Amino acid sequence: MSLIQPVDGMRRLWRMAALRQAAISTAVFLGVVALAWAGSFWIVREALIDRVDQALRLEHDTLSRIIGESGPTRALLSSSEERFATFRDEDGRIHGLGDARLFRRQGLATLMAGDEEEEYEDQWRVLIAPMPGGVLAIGTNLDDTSEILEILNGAFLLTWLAAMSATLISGGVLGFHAQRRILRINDALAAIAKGDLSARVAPRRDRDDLDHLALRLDETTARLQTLMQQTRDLSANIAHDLRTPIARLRARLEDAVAARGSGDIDKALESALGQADEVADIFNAIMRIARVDSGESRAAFTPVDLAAVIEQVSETFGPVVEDSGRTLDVDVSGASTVMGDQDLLVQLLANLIQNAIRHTPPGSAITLLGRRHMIGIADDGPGIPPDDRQRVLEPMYRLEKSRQNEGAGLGLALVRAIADLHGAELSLQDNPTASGAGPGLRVEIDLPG
Amino acid sequence: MRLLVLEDDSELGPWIANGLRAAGHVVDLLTDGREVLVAATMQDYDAIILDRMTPGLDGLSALKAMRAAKVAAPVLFLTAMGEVEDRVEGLEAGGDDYLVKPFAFTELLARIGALGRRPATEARSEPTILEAGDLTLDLLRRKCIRRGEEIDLKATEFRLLEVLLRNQGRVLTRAMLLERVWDMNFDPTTSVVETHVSRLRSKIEKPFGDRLIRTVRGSGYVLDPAG
Repeated sequence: MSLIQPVDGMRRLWRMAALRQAAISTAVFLGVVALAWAGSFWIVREALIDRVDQALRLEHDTLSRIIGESGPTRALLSSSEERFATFRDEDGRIHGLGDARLFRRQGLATLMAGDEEEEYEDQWRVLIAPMPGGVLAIGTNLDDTSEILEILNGAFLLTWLAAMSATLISGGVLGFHAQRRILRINDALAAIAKGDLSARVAPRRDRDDLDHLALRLDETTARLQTLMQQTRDLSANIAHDLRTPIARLRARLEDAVAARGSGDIDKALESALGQADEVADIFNAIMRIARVDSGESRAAFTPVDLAAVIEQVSETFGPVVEDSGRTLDVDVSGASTVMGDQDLLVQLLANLIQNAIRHTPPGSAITLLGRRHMIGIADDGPGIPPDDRQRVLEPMYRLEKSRQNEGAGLGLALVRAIADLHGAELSLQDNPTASGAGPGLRVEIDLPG
Repeated sequence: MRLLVLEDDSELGPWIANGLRAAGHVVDLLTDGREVLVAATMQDYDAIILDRMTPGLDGLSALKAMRAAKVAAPVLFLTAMGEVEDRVEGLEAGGDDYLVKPFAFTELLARIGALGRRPATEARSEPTILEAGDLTLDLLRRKCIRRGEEIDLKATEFRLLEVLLRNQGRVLTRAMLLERVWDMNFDPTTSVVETHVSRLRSKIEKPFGDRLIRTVRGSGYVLDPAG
């Protein structure tokens, strides 16, 4: 086991994307620097030897001319640790250092030569070329060139080492940092997968795409958590709100059974039917909210003329509002066209009107509003206290806890769902133009243009 | 009327069949979509009532097959699949009406009544003038005349009267009127239908001191000049 673990650890390390990327980019960078090193070395070396060769050719020309004029004197053909010159005349006699082997070839060459006794060898650059009256070989010690190249090598090694440590450290640190952030996201996701929807990555700042990703993830999880919470609340509320009419239905049926043979049975049965219908209505409303919430109908959006929607709603509901003893006015200016579901927008306004009729006293004024991308409704009734405004939009919520006001508390929840489906901003506020006793209520739905 | 009913529920099926028979119809009740397909192609029915989720062949597929086999009988879907998309799907497949469970039996009866007497061929040209007794509705000139007097109707009232006239003698329920006059597939819970019917009455009945539109208690409205 102890043998396997380090390998396992390495493999785990290798599977960390950020660290692996850092390692790979470091290796690539160092490889490139090494190539540059080799390339530069070769170029500099060629350039240096080229210069030496030019000097040799110049010296060869000069020396040839002098030997031609004054003969192969010892002074001319001296040698030192830095240079040598050797002349072979037409008779094959060698003047100066070296022997006949030197003249086996001609042209430029790099040779190794040294003192066998002192056991050292130097690199020499030699030029062996014919001249009038013989062949002249001259050479120069490449010590200087080697020295320059060694310095170059040293400089490059230093650069390479510095670059290596810099990239290794920075790559490691950055990679480790990124890796830690990825691990945080990973941990959060693992917790979410296990069912803990309160888990968040919670990046400290929004600096780069990784933070962005984390923020998106948090938003998604938050939405998921809200949806789960809503679903849980909704099921609880369905159970609660359906229980009442079902209980009433049962009571009526019991009445009917008890009233068999008497005249009361008709009333009891009719009332039971009414209760059954209410159960079905509540159920339909819940299903409708669920369907709108699912967002499926967004695919079927078409351009909707808001003025036409308001016109249709006022024509349909105007007489209803009037018969209830209230007034319905239309205040439309500059309403334009938005992408949406016309039927649902009509239902949204219908629900708001229904809500206004239900919650305002007779004699109230209700106004349908239409502006550029906004539709809404205003009334001069008792309004809604600011603290309750958010909650009235939740399914099943009713301001009056008593059951005196009939009708499921789903109307405004559907309004909220339809607004959400359209990506609209839904706001409740006091109605500034209310002339009645109460602060009034103004509901605005700001649709995206 | 001779009716074919596809309903696989062992309680609802007989209940529907018995109710329809009690209303004077002749009913064949089947529980399998394939049997319905065979029956519909072998015999002529005045109307066919289809459940959607049934064994063998579902109602929607059965209807498509029937329409492909040139069965022209009007079809009413009676189903628990009540989403807007389901309704659209059913009507696009060749259905004539769509009723969602749970339902009131009067609603079913009214809808079957409205189905059955629809003209058998679409070729017959649409009339441009509708009449009932001494009431005339000119669809092209958008005019309503009774006993020589022109009555000023609002657009909604005109449409409501038109739908009632087209279905003379047949009961139209609230839901049917909401669908056909207002194009609303949801129940606005407020008294939209009642209010507009009452406004219409005040214009076409009140000045003439008689009744054209009869309220059928617990069911709907019927325009019946004889009554």
